[in-house]
Amino acid sequence: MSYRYLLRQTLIYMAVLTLALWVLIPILLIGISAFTPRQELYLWPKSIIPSHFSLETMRFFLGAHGVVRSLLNSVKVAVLTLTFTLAVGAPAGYAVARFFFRGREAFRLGILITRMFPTALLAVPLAVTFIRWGLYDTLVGVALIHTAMALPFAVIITTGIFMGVPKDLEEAAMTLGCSRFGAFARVALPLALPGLAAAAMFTFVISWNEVFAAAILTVRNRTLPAHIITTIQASPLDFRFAGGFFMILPALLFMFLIRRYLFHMWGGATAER
Amino acid sequence: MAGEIELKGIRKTFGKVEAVKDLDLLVQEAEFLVLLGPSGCGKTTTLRCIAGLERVDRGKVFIGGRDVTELPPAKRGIAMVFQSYAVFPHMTVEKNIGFGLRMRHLPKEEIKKAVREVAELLQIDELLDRYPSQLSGGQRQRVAVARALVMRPEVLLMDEPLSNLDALLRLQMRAELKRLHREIGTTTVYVTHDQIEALSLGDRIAVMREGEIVQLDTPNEVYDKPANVFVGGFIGTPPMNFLKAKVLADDKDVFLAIGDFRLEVPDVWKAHLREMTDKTVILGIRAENIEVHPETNGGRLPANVIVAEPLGSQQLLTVQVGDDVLKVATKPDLSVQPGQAIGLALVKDKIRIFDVQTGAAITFP
Ligand SMILES: Nc1ncnc2c1ncn2[C@@H]1O[C@H](COP(=O)(O)OP(=O)(O)OP(=O)(O)O)[C@@H](O)[C@H]1O
Ligand SMILES: [Mg+2]
Repeated sequence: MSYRYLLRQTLIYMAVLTLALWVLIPILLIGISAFTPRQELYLWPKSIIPSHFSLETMRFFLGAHGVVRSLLNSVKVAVLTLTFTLAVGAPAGYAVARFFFRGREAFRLGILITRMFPTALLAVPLAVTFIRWGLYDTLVGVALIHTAMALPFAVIITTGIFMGVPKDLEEAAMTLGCSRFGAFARVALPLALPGLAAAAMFTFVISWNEVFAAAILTVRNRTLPAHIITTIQASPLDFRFAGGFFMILPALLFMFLIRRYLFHMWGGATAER
Repeated sequence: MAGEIELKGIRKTFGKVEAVKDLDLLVQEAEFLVLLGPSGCGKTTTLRCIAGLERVDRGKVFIGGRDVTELPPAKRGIAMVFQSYAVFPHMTVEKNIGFGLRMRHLPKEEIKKAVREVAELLQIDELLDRYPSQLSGGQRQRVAVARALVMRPEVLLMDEPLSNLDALLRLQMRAELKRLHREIGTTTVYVTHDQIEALSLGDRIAVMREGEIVQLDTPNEVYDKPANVFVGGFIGTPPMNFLKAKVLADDKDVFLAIGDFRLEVPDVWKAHLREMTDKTVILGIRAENIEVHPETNGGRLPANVIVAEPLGSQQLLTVQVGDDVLKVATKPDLSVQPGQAIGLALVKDKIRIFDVQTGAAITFP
């Protein structure tokens, strides 16, 4: 317990605290505002703690035209995106991790290039193509675009995950009576699950937060961010707070759910043992 | 027949690397065969070809008389212990050991019983509920062996299963593997680059070099009668000594000349050696087959001590003979000094000679 040790600990904790506050304070303020009675939001100076807990703002927000619908749309799009991304990304990551094939390295680098094109640049051609394909203004269309955005990261993350699962384990399973696929399903997949869960979380959040493509490619089937962004200019303050809160909420819930899962898998590196 | 393995001309290349070159091998049922060789000589690749984890480029693999060349590992009747053990981290010891039996869809009760039996055999029955992360290296190794044995395979394949253990544990596990093999009698192919392990475990040893088997013999034969200079130099601590010698013959006798020194040869060699008169050969002799005499006179090979190393049960001398350096094992209490001139006597029956060009042993029927 030397002086230097204490100093270091203090500095580390201060840094952690700063970072935590940096992230948490806005969330907290938005959360509080979302449950503050409407009139109080417009007071100046405004007290941080509202005089009483109120669902008025929330009710107003949820009652507003198109909100519930776009909220559901957002959830649908995010789930679709998640499904598409993992269905394509996880096998791709597995292939890159396990097999040598011509152009593997080029693929690993090239996959990020798809992220180099700004969505703004692609928006008009995409909209035209989507209209032609009948995907314009559909949730599947938005999910496809979100998948394209999330996929490079998903592939890179899952590649890392599967590289971390020793090949020996699958081979051992094969000598013990599994087929190639059986070995993947019984050994590689369960071991990769925590990592895949993280990739899933990441994908979900990418889709949930994406505004631009969603706003351009839809008219009636807006996702929540697209709906909010197109209506926010004309909205009162309380609507904005409630909207912000709703944008944060699912991501938070989702993270808490997955986080438990991340840390509680057969206790590998953590507490229990 | 059930557990017999036959490799017929198998070949495996990785790009330009020829890991296994047209290799033939017949492993008898219930035999413990060790594949021994320096790093990168293709031992693991050979084993993986038997297991079916590697597809051979050509040649055939037979297990129990059945052509398994095109079969996946699961259908070959083999079980394998990996160097890394490859125990499944997300399963308890019990689940790990029972994995293969579950794949065979045996009834639960039967699996439980079989797992318990094999766990007792390997003395890990106390650990069945633990996860691999809660085991020591030696315990994990036992789990890997148990998981393979519980399958009652026709053939057990092991790839350096002891190399990750510390020296003491390795000694212990070595004896244990030997006991297991005696009790169970499964045909075993065991890969190692540790020659002591090979000598102590193997019924026969296949010494490999650059993708080929250079000698296939019992441990004693491999040790005493290496098929070539490579095997002699690879096996034994210290490795076999090699000296240049010349075959000389006169009317009465045939002998080997090391410098001015005339070395007597076994009588049965003489007729054959006479035909090689004036040829140079490589003479091989092991350190323990050289006797040291403090005085240099009288028909002894003169040598100079360079270093004397006491090694507990014996003393190892490094000595200079002409241009060659030899290792000589002596009693620990023999007192010699560096620089001292000594006389060596080579045990006549233990001498081997090799061709200078090919390094192959020259043997006489
Ligand atoms: N998957 C692979 N891809 C390319 N080359 C390989 C592969 N596996 C093995 N080799 C090469 O084949 C040769 C034989 O390898 P192998 O693993 O069989 O050696 P080994 O005798 O088991 O060596 P060690 O004692 O170091 O384990 C080596 O030159 C190795 O580099
Ligand atoms: Mg190897």
